[in-house]
Amino acid sequence: MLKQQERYKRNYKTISLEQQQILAQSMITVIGCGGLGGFIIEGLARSGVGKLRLVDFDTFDVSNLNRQLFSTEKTVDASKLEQAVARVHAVNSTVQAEAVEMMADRDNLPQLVGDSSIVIDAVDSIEVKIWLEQICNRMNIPLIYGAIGGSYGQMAVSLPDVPVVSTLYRNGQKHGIEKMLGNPYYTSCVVGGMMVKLAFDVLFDADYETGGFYYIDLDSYMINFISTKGDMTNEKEQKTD
Amino acid sequence: MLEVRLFATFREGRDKILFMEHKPGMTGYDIITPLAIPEEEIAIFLVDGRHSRLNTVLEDGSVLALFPPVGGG
Repeated sequence: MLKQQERYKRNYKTISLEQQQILAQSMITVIGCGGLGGFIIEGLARSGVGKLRLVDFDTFDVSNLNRQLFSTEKTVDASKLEQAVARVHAVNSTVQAEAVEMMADRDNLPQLVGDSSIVIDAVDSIEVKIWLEQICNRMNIPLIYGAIGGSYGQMAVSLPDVPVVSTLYRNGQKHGIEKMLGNPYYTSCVVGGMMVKLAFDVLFDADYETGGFYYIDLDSYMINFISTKGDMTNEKEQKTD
Repeated sequence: MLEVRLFATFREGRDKILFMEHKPGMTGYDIITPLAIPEEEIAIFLVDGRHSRLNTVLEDGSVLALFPPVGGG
């Protein structure tokens, strides 16, 4: 029998008992159970987030083994979603994991994200990232955005008054540098872990930056926050300044 | 003088930081043309840390930063 009361013992000096209770009462939707998603879901389950809604449509491929946490040689061709749910149950049986097997799109996203405390973007499609922001902003749900490529990553909190994602892709690109550089283990792991921290800071109403994005350059071991508020050509942001 | 900082793939075959002589009326387009960076490859253009459009008229002494898009998950 597990001593459940000791489960979060190593959290308490950093995540207080009160904050631990906030996590237990939260429902987080994670769209995407691949590279970023794997590390994010693992972190949310271990940290004791009460309810998770996990969304994916894909199966593991051999080329996922370099970084995707829930992929193993035995689970190549298996459903990413099923492996994610199995992992959550194995790691923390006190966490409820709801599995939704579908490809997120503009039509089904409102239903997928509804009743979430927070939504986390772990998809690899710029188009879906933009839709996700539009829908979360409209439904007044905080969105944790993240994207990776090579040794580089970006993450942000998107709130209705301060959208970020749309400003990062306004040139209409369909793909980013990940098509050229691929996605190594360490970037998925570092950015996924940081997105979990950012989600908790939003839930705890702690200090975090909005109106811009964190830029992570692992080649230079550097993290910067870059404001997008100063963009005088974006009328929506200008009004909120 | 303008300071131009390049990020991620824009550094390939180019310096990370370079300097360009400032001329009145210059915009972001006058920066990317000699660097041979196509406009469609740029996701973020910062002028003195502010998210800006390429047609922004640049002032002498500004620090510019160019980022390609990142979209993986």
